[in-house]
Amino acid sequence: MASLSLKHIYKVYDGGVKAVNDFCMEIEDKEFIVFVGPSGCGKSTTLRMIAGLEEITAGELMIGDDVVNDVEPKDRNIAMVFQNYALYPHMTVRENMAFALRLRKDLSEEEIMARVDEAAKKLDIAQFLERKPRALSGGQRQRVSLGRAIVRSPKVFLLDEPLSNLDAKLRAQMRTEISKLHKQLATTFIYVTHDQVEAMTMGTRIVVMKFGVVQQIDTPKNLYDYPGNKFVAGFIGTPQMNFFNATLKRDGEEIEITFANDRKIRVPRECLVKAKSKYLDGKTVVTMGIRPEDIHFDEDFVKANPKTALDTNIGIIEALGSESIVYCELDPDRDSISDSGTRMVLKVDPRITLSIDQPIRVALDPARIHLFDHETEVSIMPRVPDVNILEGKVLAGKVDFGGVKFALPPAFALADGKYRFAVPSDAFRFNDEAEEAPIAEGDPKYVVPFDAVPAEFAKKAFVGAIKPLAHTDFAHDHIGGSVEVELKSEETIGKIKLLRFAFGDDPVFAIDNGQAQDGKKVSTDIDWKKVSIIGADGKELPSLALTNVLHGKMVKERTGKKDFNFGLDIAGKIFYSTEYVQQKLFNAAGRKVFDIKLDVDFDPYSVKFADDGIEAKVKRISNFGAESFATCLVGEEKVNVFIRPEDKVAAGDTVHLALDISALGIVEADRGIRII
Amino acid sequence: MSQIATTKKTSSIKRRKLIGQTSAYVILGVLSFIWIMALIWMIIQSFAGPEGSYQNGHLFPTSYSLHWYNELFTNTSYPYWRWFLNTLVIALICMVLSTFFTISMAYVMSRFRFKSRKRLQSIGMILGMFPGFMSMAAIYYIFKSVGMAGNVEVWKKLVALILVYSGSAGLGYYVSKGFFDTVSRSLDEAARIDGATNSQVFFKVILPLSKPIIVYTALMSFLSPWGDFIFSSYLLGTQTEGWTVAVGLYTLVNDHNITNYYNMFMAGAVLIAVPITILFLCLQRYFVEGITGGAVKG
Repeated sequence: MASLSLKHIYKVYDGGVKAVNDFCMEIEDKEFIVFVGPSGCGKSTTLRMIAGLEEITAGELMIGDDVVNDVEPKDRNIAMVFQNYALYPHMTVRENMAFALRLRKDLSEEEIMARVDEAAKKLDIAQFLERKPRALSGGQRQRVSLGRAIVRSPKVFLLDEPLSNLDAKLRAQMRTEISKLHKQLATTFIYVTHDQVEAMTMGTRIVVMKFGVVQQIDTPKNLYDYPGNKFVAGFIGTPQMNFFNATLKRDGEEIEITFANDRKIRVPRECLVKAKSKYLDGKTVVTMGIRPEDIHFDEDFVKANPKTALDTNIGIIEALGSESIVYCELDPDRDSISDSGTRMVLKVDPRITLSIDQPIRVALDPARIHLFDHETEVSIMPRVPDVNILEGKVLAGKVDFGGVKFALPPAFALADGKYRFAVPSDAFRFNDEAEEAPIAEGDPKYVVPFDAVPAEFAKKAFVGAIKPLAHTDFAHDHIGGSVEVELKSEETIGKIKLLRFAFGDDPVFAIDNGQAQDGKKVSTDIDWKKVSIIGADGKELPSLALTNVLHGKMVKERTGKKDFNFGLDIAGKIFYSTEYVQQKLFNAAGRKVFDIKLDVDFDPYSVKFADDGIEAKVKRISNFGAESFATCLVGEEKVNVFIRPEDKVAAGDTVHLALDISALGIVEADRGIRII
Repeated sequence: MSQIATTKKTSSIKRRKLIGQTSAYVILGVLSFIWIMALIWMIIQSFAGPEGSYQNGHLFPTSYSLHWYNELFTNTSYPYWRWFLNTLVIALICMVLSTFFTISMAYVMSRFRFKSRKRLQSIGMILGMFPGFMSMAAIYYIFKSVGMAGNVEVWKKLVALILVYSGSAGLGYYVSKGFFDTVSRSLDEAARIDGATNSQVFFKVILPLSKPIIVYTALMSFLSPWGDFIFSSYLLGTQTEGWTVAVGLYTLVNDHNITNYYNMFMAGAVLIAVPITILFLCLQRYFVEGITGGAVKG
């Protein structure tokens, strides 16, 4: 019974091959997590790292409240079930199950036997206890290995493709038994498989992986209904989703989808409302996906949806008994056997008599269409839209979004005219959230000093302390004043509440941060620093970069025979590093730590003007009303610095920057490994 | 028509098979006769009468008795019984030590990944290519300087021999490593998760599964000191009661002794085979069982 936390976990082999790349996940107590993906996607490696059988190159693994990166497998309180069962062949089933308990030496033999008997009863293997594993069938062996795991009552159960060696029937049976066991034991399960049926039926959440990279983490249903990219869409579901190359064009309240052979269907705009508007130009090629069961053959549906109907001929019929799979070709010049990108597969009621080459009329379910970018294969209508593209008219320092007007902050000195505004969905603030009292001086949050300040090794001590900032402190004044909008809908997606309203004709999606109370109307304003603006001439005014990156390396200084000071050389200035940072760096890079290049990243609030520090030149001051930021140049690199009330800076000044070392992110530049 | 053709064909296959098998058995028979002839002849010679049969003008002795076996246990100038015990003790101790070294080395090389593992392996391989007796002189003087060779007590020299035989045993780990490589690693991993330390994994999980290879290694490490002549001949010196069987028997048939001790030599040689035969018969089961002790598979 434990939660797990995997933070930026990497597994990099000596040759530089990344078997697992930046794996981040929070696993809650009692979850049944399934890692699924094709062979070599890193799912087993991740499991083995959790088990402690494989070293973690970089990152932090927590079981419960403990960091266990360097903890022996036996002390992690986990149990593992292997694909080949890994039963000790020379021991009886009873001895196999008692092995771990006997090694612990703190249990009496009676107690051990009682536990073994109990587990055996649970798994229905009591009658085999005195047999050797070789006298058992595959299914029985797998039960024994489950039993061996159960008797230890571990916090986390790890199962590495436990059913792959069983035949299909037994697999289905063991599947339900493992699910049952999970409910009985009420423990965290992590299960690795390449079989999507196992994943879909057993997992409370599924992690889909490919080439060592997590593709999507979600519940089985969400994974099926809202695949985040084309790989996930194709991997989950049999027969796999149909993919077509298509272009999209908005036409009033409808969107016209054109694909193979200039065939067109029209779907209500409402169905694709989350699709990013830049793809709706009628030119950009996208990948359209639709599952075989969402292409309908029955007459009523086709009649009800004439605008999404298509005519085609049947190529191949596969009668599976419970359903028939029909392969059609949208391009009459090709046959439906090759996977051509114009092939369409649909599921049909097996009672309908069909014959090859028979012309049929089918209709797509417009509400079940998926769209992906043709190049990146990422969904272009994510469940939580990241950005709203809004047309706005600027007039005298105010912007008008279809009748909804905001005052623009001084940072945007825009000439009057038409602009496109990219407003992220998390840039909206609701119902004067600022009324929360600002953190006062004297508040413990306010007083904690910065961990590190620039220092010259052995020459100078710390150069004064810096107060940290509560980020929301200064974000509460609204330059534009809030605007009242009418909510059209609310949707809860995981932990996110997504609100939808409209600026004139344009739908707007916004993430509610808990301030928008239930009700029809809310007042909102925009956090302008997150907004980027594209002018009519195509010139882009980007949003304020909230991640600053500087280059650095680790350095040491000998202070005694065996004593060293370790520091981070960031842009030529040395900062004392914390023990945590040192440890992380040493773990990830070993003795080469002083030779590797590091990319150090931090947000504008974790850097401060100080008397000593990294020398920089102020290039520009951007005033967003509530907050102002200075864009400084450190060499060639741009660094955005939040301007505190006491700071007096102007463009052109030479300043010194101090960093909050505890808030730094560190990436090993050459291998691209996030260390912190 | 076709019926006849088929019958004809079958009979020709049968005939060819018969000819093939007959000739194979003939060749095998001849080979085994050649191979066993010397052994039988030696056994017959060992039962010769007290007058001996060396160069008596006959292929076989003219009279038969147990005289020469009796002589093995009673002769005081050449105490065969003592040599036999010496050799047996050395071989048994070496068997235990060498097997332990070899198996441990093989397990480490098979399971653990450490720095310069590959380099150690190739160094071992190259060292193994040189014949062991190249180091003879060096070994002799090293033992002499620590007082274990030359004019010292007999037991010290025997200990020295044990050290020589078992010291380099680890280099012969290849065969056992090949065996361990076939034992599923997930057994180790399961045991480690179950809470076993490295040595517990080795002794409680891997060793019980490795009987065939342990038996093989043990037999091999018994045989090499049992039959070795080179090292024992120069380390053991001239005290007859400190000799091993190989050294002693060789002395029996040198130019000086061969006329008198020819048949005693034969009897001694026959007795050497006894412990090996017993050992083999006891452990044969595992050879028959073969290397099938790998992990239980699905």
